Amino acid sequence: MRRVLTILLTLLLAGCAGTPGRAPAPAREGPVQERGGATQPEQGGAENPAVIALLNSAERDRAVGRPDSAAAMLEQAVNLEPKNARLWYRLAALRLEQENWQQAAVLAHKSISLIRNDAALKRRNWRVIAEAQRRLGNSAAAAAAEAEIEKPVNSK
Amino acid sequence: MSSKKRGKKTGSRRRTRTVRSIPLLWLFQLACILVLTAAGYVLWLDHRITTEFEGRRWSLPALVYSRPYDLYIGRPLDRSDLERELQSLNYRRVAAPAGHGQYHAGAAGLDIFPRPFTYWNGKSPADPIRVEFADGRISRITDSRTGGLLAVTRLEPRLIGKIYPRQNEDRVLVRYDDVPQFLKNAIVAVEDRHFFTHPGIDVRGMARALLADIRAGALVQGGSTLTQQLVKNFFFSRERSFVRKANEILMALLLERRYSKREILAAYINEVYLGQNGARGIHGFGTAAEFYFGKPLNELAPEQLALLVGLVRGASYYNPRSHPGRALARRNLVLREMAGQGYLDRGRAQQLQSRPLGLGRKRGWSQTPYPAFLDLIRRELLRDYRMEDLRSKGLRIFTTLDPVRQEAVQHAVRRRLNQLEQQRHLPHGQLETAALAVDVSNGEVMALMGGRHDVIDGFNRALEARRPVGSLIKPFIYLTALEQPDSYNLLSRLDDSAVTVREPDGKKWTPDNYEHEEHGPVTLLEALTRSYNLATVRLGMQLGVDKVIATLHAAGLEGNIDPYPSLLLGSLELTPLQVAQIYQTLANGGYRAPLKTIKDVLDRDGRPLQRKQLEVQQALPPDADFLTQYLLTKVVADGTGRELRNVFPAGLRLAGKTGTTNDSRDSWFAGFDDHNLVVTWLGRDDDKPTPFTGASGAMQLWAAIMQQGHPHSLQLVDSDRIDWTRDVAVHYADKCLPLDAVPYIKGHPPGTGMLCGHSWFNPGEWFR
Repeated sequence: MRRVLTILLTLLLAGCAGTPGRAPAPAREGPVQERGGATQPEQGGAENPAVIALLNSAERDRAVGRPDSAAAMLEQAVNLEPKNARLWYRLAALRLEQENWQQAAVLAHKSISLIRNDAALKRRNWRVIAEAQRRLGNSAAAAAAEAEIEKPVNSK
Repeated sequence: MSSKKRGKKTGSRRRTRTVRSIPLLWLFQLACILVLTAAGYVLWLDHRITTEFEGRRWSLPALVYSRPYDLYIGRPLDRSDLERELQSLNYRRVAAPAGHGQYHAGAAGLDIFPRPFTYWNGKSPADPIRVEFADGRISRITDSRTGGLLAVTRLEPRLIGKIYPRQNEDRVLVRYDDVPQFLKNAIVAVEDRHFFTHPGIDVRGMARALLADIRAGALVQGGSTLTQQLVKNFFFSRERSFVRKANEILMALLLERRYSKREILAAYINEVYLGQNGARGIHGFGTAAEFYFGKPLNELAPEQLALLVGLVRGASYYNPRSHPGRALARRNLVLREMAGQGYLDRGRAQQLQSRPLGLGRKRGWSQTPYPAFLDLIRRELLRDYRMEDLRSKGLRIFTTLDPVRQEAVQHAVRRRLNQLEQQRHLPHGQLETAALAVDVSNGEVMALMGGRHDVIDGFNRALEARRPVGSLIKPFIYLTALEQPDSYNLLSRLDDSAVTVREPDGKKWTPDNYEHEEHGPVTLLEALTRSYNLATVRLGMQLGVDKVIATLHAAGLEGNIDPYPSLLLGSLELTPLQVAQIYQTLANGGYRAPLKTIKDVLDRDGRPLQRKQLEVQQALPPDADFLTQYLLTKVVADGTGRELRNVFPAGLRLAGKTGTTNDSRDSWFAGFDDHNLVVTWLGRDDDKPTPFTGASGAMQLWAAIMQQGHPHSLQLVDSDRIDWTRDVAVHYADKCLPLDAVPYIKGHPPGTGMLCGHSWFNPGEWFR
């Protein structure tokens, strides 16, 4: 069971590691574009070098079995870009590793609440939620999360 | 610890004494009694000195630190900001940084040699770095040793306070290996040149002292070894008598039998009395280095170490702050003595003698610069720790305080309150205030002011002043409504007309609008952003006061709340801290992070006793929360907070809400950008009226605080459960307000009832 979890986690984390710089970060203090909805934070990784460095350090710490230290790095990253859904997701996935199931689920929900157009990221979050709920013994919630993973992507 | 075990063994060996010769019986008995008495006395002294020696090592104040000073690429920061921080940390400005705690301000940037610092997850790297700036941000950080680029690093946190042991002593403990050799040499040269060879007392030295005493006809010279001085420091006052002296000699001999020279010198260095800070004795060289120079002992220059050694003979007589001339002469004597004994080259000694005293600013730790914040920390600590442990175990407490932000708040309060009083021709000093700044994503309290002069009178308004919140409560009513998308959206029609409500106690309550007028049918958007009372009361009564209370509880308000309808207009009394908690939840997308001031607590060896990770709870539905945040941005764009548009650059989106209570007894503002939530309150301690509304009082202070903190435009990040209307115009304050997009929960679009046509205005005129 532990190994299954480890593999799952590796897959989860592999999904977002090493993809920095895909989308440009929004200008923090540029004019706000109201038309067409609210500002979308970039969701394809970060171009902020500080965030990239923190993600890399976190990944290094995680790989050598220091999840608490990795979590501290991710918390700092989240603090720098609090509207970046990807960062919240990574923190959620790490909470699984720390066996903090409750926070894993909450943080994944938090990530989802910041996602508009990234079905893959959303599915990864639902995976975290499903696993966390299973660990918490909430089989109904776990099943509901599983159903969200299976949901077809409706194009917007 | 090992010395203790060794000590026990030697102790038991000493206990067995044999008397071989047997004279007359009575003589034998007398001798027996004498020997036993003497042995008992020695044992008792031995016990006392051992207990003292071991026990003393454990009484250390708790150290309270700010958050570390993060340096990262892109951080909005001016070079002068960073230089100010380095000065606050007592870094020395030099031409070429060669040691920790030094920096150079060059053309390219700042070259900094940081101090090593131990955090919960280990020691921070302390290689020299170069920090460069461009356009008001950090543009590059280089590791000067490897030449590699760094994206993130930090400077050590500031020490912002201490929690002292009962004896009211301060002590910065230094490890023997961290003590500069120069200091050890100086101590031995001046105080006890045979220290490493004598058995605890120095007969030659004592003879010399005795001679001097006889010549003077009184006890003038001590002739004490370091060991004797240490004993004296442990037990005796400065008074001199022959019994004392005899005891002192005995105990010195005992101490030397039990402990090594190294342990004794280490204890001496941490124990010796070196000055006075108010009621608090300055003990040990580490403490003295901090007290006189504001630096760690191992960063002091040789002449500074010599000055401290000179103080051993008479800390008040040679006090460098009150008697700089004496202190200088004494310091130079120390340097000459060292040269005389070959510890120092004569030319070098000459050179050092010509240097100034180099004292640092005096810092009274009993008067922390941030009393209100420390008060909150103490309360939080006492929930988890015993006061006795806090006072004596040398705990290291890492807090969330951001000193830069705190000082900005203090500065804004001081300046803005004076201005406000002058503008309204009020007598100076009547107006009181409380303010705090919170990190939205994690609930960390970054700055806190308990009053205009912080908590000079012991009254911490940020935590203790419960005041009616007025309209600050309204967003939680509207959020409660927006949780029901079938019934309410941002353009729903509300009725702003006179209403009478029956309170639970049977009394009738007839609220009024601030401007004593009715606005008739208005949108929900207008009712909140212009803070209409009648529409809000009607809405709240439709929803049910209980529902609103449930929302407040979810947002993090604890305790019982009476379901009076007047609650809907903010009769509820809250402290600024409580307001900050419920607004944190709102600003964080409905995710509550309990407000906190303490992150990590480490024991004296650096082991974590407590670590607070980021923890959030989903408290309010994210979609309704999103719509409410949108409303609060409209408060600033078009509503009661629109004056902020004159203060902040166009394009900077902010959200907030004003609050005013009857006769303007309380003036509130709670508002946030993408990172920071700031809550401000203005009023009088005697609860008398002021001339200030939320907008003309607390909001002004809020703006001054936000302006100094590099505001980040609020990103309204919606989920895919939110949709947007396009190009509508709505009735708004007797006008037709064009809105190019209004958010709504998917599947529940606003009706057309309150529309006044399509927009043909340039949206830029309305939105910034």
